[in-house]
Amino acid sequence: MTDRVRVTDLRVHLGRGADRIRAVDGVSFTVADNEILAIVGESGSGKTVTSRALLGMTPPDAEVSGSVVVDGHDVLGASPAELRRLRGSSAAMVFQEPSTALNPVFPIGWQVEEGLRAHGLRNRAERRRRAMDVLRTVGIPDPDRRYHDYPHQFSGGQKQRIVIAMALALEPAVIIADEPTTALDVTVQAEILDVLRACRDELGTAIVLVTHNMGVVADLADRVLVMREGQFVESADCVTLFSEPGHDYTRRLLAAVPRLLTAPSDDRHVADTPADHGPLAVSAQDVEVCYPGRFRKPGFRAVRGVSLHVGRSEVLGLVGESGSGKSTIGRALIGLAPITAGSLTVLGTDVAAASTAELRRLRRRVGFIFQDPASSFNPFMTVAECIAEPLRIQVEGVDADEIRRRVAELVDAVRLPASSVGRSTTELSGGQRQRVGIARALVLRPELVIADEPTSALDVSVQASVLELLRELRAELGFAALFITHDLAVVEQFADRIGVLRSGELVETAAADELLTRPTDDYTRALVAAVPVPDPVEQRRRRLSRRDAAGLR
Amino acid sequence: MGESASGRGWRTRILTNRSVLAGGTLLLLVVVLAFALPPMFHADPFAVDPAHRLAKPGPGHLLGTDTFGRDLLARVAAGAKSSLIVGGAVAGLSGLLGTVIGLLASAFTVMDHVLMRVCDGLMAIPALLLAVALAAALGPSVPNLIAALTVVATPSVARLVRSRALAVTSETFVEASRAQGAGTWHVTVKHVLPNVLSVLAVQVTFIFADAIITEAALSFLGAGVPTPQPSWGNILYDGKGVILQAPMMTIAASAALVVTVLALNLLGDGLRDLVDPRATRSGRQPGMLTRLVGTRRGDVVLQGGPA
Amino acid sequence: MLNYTLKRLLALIPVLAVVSVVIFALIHLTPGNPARAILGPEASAADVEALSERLGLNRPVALQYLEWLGRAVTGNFGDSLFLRKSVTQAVADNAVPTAQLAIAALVVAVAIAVPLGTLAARWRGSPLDALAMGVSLVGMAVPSFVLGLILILVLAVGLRVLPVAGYESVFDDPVRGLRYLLLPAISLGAVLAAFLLRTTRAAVLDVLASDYIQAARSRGVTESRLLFRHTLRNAGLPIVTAVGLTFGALITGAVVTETIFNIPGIGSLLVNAIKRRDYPVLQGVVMFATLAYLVVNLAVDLVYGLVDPRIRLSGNG
Repeated sequence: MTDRVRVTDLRVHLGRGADRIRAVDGVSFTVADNEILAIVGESGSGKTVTSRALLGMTPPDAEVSGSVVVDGHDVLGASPAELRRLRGSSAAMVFQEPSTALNPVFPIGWQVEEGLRAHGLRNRAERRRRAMDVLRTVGIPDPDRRYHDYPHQFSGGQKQRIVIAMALALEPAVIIADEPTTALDVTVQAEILDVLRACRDELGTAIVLVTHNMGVVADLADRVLVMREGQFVESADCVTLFSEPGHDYTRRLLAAVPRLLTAPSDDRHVADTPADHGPLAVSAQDVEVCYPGRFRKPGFRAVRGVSLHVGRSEVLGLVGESGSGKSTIGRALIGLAPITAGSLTVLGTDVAAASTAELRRLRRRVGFIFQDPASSFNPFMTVAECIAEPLRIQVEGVDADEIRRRVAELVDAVRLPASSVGRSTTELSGGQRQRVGIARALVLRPELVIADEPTSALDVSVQASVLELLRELRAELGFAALFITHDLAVVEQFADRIGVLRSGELVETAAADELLTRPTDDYTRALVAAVPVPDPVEQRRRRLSRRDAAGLR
Repeated sequence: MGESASGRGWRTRILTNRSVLAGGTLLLLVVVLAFALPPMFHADPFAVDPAHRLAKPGPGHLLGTDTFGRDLLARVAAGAKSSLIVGGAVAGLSGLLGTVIGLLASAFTVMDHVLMRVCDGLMAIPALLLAVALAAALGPSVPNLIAALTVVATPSVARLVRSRALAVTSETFVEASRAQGAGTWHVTVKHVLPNVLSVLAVQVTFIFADAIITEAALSFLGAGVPTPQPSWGNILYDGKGVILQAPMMTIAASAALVVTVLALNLLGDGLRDLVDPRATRSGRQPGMLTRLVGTRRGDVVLQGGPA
Repeated sequence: MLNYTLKRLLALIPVLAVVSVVIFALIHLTPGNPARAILGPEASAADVEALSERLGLNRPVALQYLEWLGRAVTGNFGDSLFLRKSVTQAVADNAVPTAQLAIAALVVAVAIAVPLGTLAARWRGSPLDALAMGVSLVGMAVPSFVLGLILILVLAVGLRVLPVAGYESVFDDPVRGLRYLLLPAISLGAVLAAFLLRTTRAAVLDVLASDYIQAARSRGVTESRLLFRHTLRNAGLPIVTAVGLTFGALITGAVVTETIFNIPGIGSLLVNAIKRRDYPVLQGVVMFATLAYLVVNLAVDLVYGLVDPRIRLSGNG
């Protein structure tokens, strides 16, 4: 098989002066026809820079050395005109964020044609025909009718298909896909992966897949390169990498990936032990949350008819895709979302009917952990001030010493170094910031903790340590928790029971093991089936059974 | 508890910014010219001397004299003083007033509608015309002038403060504050104000500059600082009639005006560069390459701590 | 699109209401009796009374406002106190020269700012960029009337190339008209260009950094096509909006510039009205300028709506 891509000793330096870093530090690899090579790494590993180098699209001030040969063309030594010629026709790129990769003011048909036009196809009819063909290939229904539509008129998954269509328009030998499914819902992700697989199987394209998601790698890749701090630490074929990882880092990475259906660990409740009897932490009956409309726009019902409960020392996981209403429920519990129907009692307080003072008292007993560590803190405040803020808000006349003591206690509990108290949160990494978030949520010793996607914005290995921390703290402090997430594998690690939300409605609630092994609802089943599992053999089996199930219908 | 983490940082950052330094120095020079020099040289901008009208620059009159024989340098310096006073007063008053209005509007929806409609209306009238009309209607005097210019400048401050306040209150950290039981007062003082003050400082600097220009224009049209009190606008008006015989009047007043406004613009630009977060200047997501280059920066891993 | 247009039109109503109140109130801001202020301290009490009666100043304020508003809506702003014509007539007579100046200045501004700003963005950090930014910085510090005076000093007096002052309508004699218009248009347009240059550069930079331009580049589209066909199309929207917003500065700049170059437009009408306290004319001029500004911005908004497919097709602004 011919090598479509050959990279030898690639080095890329970025930035200047004090900020100069070695983004890529001497990597070499090849990719052949009919092959999908995955480059896996966490953020900052240099994988994206490597992918950009394949098309000569590193930042203007980057220093690049080594050799990159794509489809027989020397990329690094190419003149601008030569580079332009090979872009799109020899190799093409698929981007992470479909909504920003498409120009909002031009129709999609025109945009697909741009690539053809740039490579000399003058005949208008021919261009149109080829563009429509490729749109059909990626699965856009009714391309003739939708040819003149604009990007905002398509869904996220369709937009990504269009981006892939643009990449395929000139039938390139190589496709470089940079996190192509990260911005998409899990069910849509599976479809896009299918499209990429079809490119390899039917068109014989060589694909370089850059990602941080081990599940996607297991599903799609033939060979895998593990990248860390600019260098490759391991290179193996997919099955071997997952079953017998060679390098220590690879092993840690794989271990940190939350796996569905592993053996339950000791500090979780065994599934069939009922939640402790007694007063419930949260009791919701037919709750509806409706955001009022304005003028002619109708109101939006984020949550409808949801009934659930959380015991005093239990963890309920709330799972759903984007727009399912899960975050809204979390906010409704402390009165931050308007409850328009039903009843909601949290720690004995009727939230819908509570007065401002009652809500204030309730909020003292509930801790909230937010998703995005980058925006959950006021950039003007130090770590100590952030953690102490709830104390200042809720407790009258607490003195500075007491505050200092309590903050130090918490900083220690979340395993941050004591020196971090005087720093601004902007100086910390994502994982560290999230620990500050946990400390802030726990400073008043809450009885209930609501965690809204606490690990979604973090790297995989960091995710694992933060979850670990949460588990320990819960074992030690014994609070009840509502754990909101879209990631089934993560929730399985933490929750006793799981509820599945879809478009504002609760479709199923059951004990964690029960729900994941024997789901009763169709949607739950689809959700569980769509989660990529970091085990290529298992993944293949699931894929085939999914296809069979679809074929039979 | 240790001083505010960004405290040490931002002060040094301000002082080392080139624009700020350049603008600040120039401004200082103008201030010295306006307040310190005249007493030193006993220059009297009102002393009429018809025998020596329209004299060329020379000993005794470093910039020459004007149509009434008054020392031009003294008049330009006095004009600097009145421009700085008027501009500074307008900047300060509109800043204060605009902040109060903006905060009120951001906190109470009913007031918001009313106040913003009023601001829209005032901003719909071209600034100079509104100023002229108000100043003409109120009558010629410096306090009236300041009042008119403040009315013109306040709506834009109010809008800015309001939109910033609304942006801050929709940030996650404010939601976190509320989730812990914070009331409006706590949120406003601890979160909104610090985040608003930075953009306010930039805006107020530009208002200062605009006020000086508008005052000069008004004085030029005859509706600003009343003669015989000197103002750069007045001098330019007088100078226009004798532009052939005494070009110095035009040149000196123009130069003084341009230098002062330039100084303030530089100051404002510098401050704005410091305040605007680099990647989100226009509120958009940073592009791929920006994100790319930014992967490692700012992610300092503290010694001995888990990631 | 219809939705969008309606929303914009509806939004104008409260603005016009506030504007009308402000303009109406002008005559009442004068300390003391406006009629006395107009006629001067030596006028007899009888004359003052007569003028007060004529201006309707003895009636309750609210009533005065409603009557004034009623007349204003039909375009009747009363008669000038000193010129022998109605305010509307006076404004109409003087509007053409101002309009010519404003348009000429706008053309100058756009012709300088847009190409220069685009190139400055394209070659960001180059000497061209630094020069453009420097020129823009200084340009924004120079008021248009100052630039006008300097240009007169240098070009008309020093070098004797162009006429110092005066006016000829372009419709009457295009060549002479343009000669008279050149200096004023440049002094007004250059200052505006300084501001528009910054906006253009920022808008183009923004688009150049966007993902979709990177994506198009990755498919082999040439740099020049990327710049002119793709980028300008996207950047055009904020640029056009900025032009609309500077229209207010254009009007006021024209007003002042006219007085320097002795162009018989709205500016001189205004200056005389100020001197003589001809309140009706003052009100009329301010109203006219405001309406012009609002109409231009409405047109800009509508053009934006037509051009941006996200608005055109969904109807939501």
